[in-house]
Amino acid sequence: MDKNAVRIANQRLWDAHPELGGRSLSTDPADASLRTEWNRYYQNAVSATASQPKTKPSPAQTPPPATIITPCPLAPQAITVNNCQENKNHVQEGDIVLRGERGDSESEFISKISKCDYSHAGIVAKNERGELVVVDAYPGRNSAVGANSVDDFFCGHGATHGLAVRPKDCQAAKKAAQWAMAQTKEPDYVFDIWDPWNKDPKRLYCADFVYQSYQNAGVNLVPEKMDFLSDANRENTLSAVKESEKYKNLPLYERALATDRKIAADLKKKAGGTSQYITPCQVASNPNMTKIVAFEKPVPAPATLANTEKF
Amino acid sequence: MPETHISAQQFWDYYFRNAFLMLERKNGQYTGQIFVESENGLSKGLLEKRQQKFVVIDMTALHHYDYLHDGRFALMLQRPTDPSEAFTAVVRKTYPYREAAPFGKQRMSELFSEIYLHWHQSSAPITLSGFEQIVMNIIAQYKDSDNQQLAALAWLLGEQRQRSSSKALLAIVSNAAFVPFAQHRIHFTSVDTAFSALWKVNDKRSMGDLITLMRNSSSAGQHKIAPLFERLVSTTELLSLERCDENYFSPEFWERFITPRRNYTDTEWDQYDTDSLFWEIRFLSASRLSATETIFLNKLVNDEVQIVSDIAREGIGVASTH
Repeated sequence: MDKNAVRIANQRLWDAHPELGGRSLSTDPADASLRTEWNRYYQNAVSATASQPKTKPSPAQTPPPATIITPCPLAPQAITVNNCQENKNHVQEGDIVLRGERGDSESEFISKISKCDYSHAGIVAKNERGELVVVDAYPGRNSAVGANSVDDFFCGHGATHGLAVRPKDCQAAKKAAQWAMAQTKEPDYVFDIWDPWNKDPKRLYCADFVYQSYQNAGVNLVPEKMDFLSDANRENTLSAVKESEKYKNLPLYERALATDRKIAADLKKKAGGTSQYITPCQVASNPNMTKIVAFEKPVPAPATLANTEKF
Repeated sequence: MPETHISAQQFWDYYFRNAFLMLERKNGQYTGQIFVESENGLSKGLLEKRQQKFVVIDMTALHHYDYLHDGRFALMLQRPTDPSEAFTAVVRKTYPYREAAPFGKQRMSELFSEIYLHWHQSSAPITLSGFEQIVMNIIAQYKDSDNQQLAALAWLLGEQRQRSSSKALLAIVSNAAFVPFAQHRIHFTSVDTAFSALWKVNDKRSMGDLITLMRNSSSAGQHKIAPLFERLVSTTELLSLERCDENYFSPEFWERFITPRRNYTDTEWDQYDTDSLFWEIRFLSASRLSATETIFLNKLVNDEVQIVSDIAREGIGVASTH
């Protein structure tokens, strides 16, 4: 018998008779009329297959096209919080979260060249216990993708400010979050912000991971990557290098030799020849996103004369 | 600077991570240069001064590596070479992914089902030329919403490793955002996948078109095309950014290399590829060379990568020694 035709005939019979609950037919006389019907489906399937030179696979279930937006229930009014632990009370599955660390020289440098006030991105998902966590790609892990608490995301790592945004398409958000959570079980993700060959989805960085999560839900969050050495951005990048502490601390002769061309060439070599990447701001600034929470850690008040007099 | 002897495992890890700034394959060994990593394995930031180190491994150590238990090699032999079987395996989520596809297994399955329903003529057989034609049809009426289907198809063409697919793949990269006067601005996911696929199909005779494209591209495009040339033409020495410096991004540099070989036939390029620095290209060469090319197949019979040597032996009808 033609196995493919059997499969098709079974499916057609089960579709026509849901009361069968997907069971196979027996030789019992009670199934006689069903067996006749099945035979008809089988013969039709055999004839259809015979007319085609190659076997056609049965298509998997097709998801709704990515362009159809299913509105989420009433996005709340955007709020600002000062306590990092409050963020968890406002986020939900699929939200994209960003954070920044003012005062860290490398983070500030990346923020300047990417024209983005945030240096890290993650996606909110539900773990096996139904708790909300942030899944992100982060350096220093065995596999780069992992999940931690929402508090850890906003309160740890010297975060000084943050943001949570919500996609208008809540089905895509849920699917993206589920895909992201599933990746925490994959052992072979490698953190790599500058992937010279730039083609392997398993070598990734934070914003790339969020981008991929939504891609796997059928949504392209980012139309074009940021190029920090494009004609439009080159000057900004070079001035960020020159303003950095590390550059200012170079010996005078080294700074004298560091022409713009040399600085750009050096950056390109360190980035493996590429100067394009996806910034945290890009994954959060899609027009189909709504801002939910902005987090700003209060800046400690500068010591005043009155304060110092107390000590 | 002293050289550090590395194991075969380390060598292949560096190779697959594209970590070599310089690499030479000659005199019975590989010698390379890599960035020194910090103790936790992280590469330092863009502002740090990064130290480099020299590494070396001899061919004997590489010959003894267990290639058949390393999926990065073994899966090359397990991929379905028939387009219809490959398509079915992707839809059924059973495809033996050696190199990650642009999307996860589930999404790839959904996309190929969509392609089947929307683009494939119901009575037509599933063939490679059919997929190539679908790519051209999608490009002809490209919409942003087609991007993921296009990326999935580009990936499949790469996996099939047939020269004929270079035309469709070139059509994708020729419509990238980095080409100022292109008809479309195809999304970077499809473009990146097409670049990867162009390396896998290894159609050297399309390099003239790539030079023209490089010349007509912005600097962002030149940054994309140069690594493809690096992979397609490097033989005893890796023609890397570190090695070539700013020439690396110049179309003229690559043109000077290609011009003397512009009349090469496919067979002559297969012969050239027996000296490639990349084992994937040597593997293709061993698969593509006809049994009469014994001189060139014999060069690959003792290749340090077992699956290359096995296929070369098969080509000339010699039993494997492994």
